[in-house]
Amino acid sequence: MTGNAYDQMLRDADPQRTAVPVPPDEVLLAQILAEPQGRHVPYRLAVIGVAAAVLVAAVGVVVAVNRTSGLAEIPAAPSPSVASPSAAPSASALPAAAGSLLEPDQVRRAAKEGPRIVPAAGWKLIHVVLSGDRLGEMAWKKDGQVVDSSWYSTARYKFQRPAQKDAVKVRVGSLTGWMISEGSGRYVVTTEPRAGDGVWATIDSGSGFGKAEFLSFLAKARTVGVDAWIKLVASGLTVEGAADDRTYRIFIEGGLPQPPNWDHPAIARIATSDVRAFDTALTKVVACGWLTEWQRATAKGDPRFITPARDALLGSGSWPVLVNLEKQGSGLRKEITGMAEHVVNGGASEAEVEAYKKTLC
Amino acid sequence: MAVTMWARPDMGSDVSIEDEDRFRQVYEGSFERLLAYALRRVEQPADAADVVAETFLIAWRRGRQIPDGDEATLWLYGIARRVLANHHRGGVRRERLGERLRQRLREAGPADPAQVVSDQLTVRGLLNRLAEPDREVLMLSFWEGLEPREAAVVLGVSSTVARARLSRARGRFRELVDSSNSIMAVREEK
Repeated sequence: MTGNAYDQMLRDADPQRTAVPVPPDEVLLAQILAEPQGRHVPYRLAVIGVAAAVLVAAVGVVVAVNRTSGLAEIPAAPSPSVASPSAAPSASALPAAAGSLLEPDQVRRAAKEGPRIVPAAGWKLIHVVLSGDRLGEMAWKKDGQVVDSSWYSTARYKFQRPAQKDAVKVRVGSLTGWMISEGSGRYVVTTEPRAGDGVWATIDSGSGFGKAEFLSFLAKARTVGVDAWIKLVASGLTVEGAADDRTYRIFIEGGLPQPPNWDHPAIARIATSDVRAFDTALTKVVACGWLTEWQRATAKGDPRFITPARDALLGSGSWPVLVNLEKQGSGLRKEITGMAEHVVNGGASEAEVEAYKKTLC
Repeated sequence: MAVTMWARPDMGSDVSIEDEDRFRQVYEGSFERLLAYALRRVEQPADAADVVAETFLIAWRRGRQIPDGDEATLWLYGIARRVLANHHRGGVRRERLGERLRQRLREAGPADPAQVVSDQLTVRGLLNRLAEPDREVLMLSFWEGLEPREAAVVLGVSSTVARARLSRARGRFRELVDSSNSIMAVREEK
């Protein structure tokens, strides 16, 4: 073979050579621009403020706090006896939150701030996350097709507003939007800012959607009031979607260290709407992951891998999710910290480590 | 030139509209290449979202350190390289950012192995047998399509060193290919 043949062999082996390009993610951009610039400060949640603290106190629900302030608290089980702050919807709108992984205050804020779009029957809600002040996202799924929607504050609108000569005017419930094609069968609608609070939204078809099909999706979607939206979300978010979103919150806002080679699809197997049961199962999977990583790292004898595994295991006593579970009477924190101490510092035998894994994995 | 400033309510720091517009241009111009860079180097596609999110967040925080023009993408590759190193050590901190991108990549899933021809897998296997500096310079050159002087910026070495490393890495790769029974058999069948 010639030198060129070897070079071509390398080019051909590029796993991204035939990949469909993923366009710039506008939600990520908005989230980054909402971050403070120019200082190396620990990550700080944009959503937390005095008003949020007051709201949390009022509704009796624990939410994540500023990560710079030490241990973040994991959102606890939703309380069925939710009080109603004056600006929020009535407590009577929230009964479905009990027995669900959803957090009432998050749903209420999403309802107040978001565009409250509801697609036609058959579309399952799989994702609702607040990302900041008047910044959030949700997604629906049907037959393998996923539609994303994000909402933003007025300040970001000037950057997103499509050139209207290229855009098709559409109606989405009570909202007016402008649809453009992004190529590869992907269409994005940008709604005009809502009267009053200026919130606007994007609705993204993802790739592979026919134009007529997406226009039909938009035409059949409706917008509803705050209380109606809360009811629909509380009863409509899939168990897998709620589990996915809660896992995200526990990792990111709760500071739970994610083990290497994290098997995210495993979360789908934790099929429960009971918050305590879910948190317990998730924490066991995470502890299992770190135990496995400890075994792998020590077998290799590589300190680059041993150190993070040791730190994660010995730090398990401070995992906010475990602290919260203990407050609810769970003995899991003691079990895991005892295991970690025995494995890392106590010279547990291989058989003992395997026995621990049997109980956790 | 007068620049409009406003205060971020959460930190009290001043950010100029010029800074934001410039970052936006860098983001729009580099996103696809940076994501592809990350996707080539992680096992799970969703992990690439973390790498991209953290890389751009670091870039945003460094503000005016972002170089102009094409150099910006090379500079971002350099940051991503360090973020990835941390990721592979298990120390990456998942940002609370980019969850939608993570979801989208998760939906896409990893490439179907059945769709990858066997000699591509073999070549990737051979690449993994190279030392990291050799592997990285080959990937930057043939996958990211960088010239040696550009790869040098990413790797933080001189152009001379990058050229020498590329030459050495190509040589090592050829040796591995020539000694690989499986890939030679595939070649001979064609």
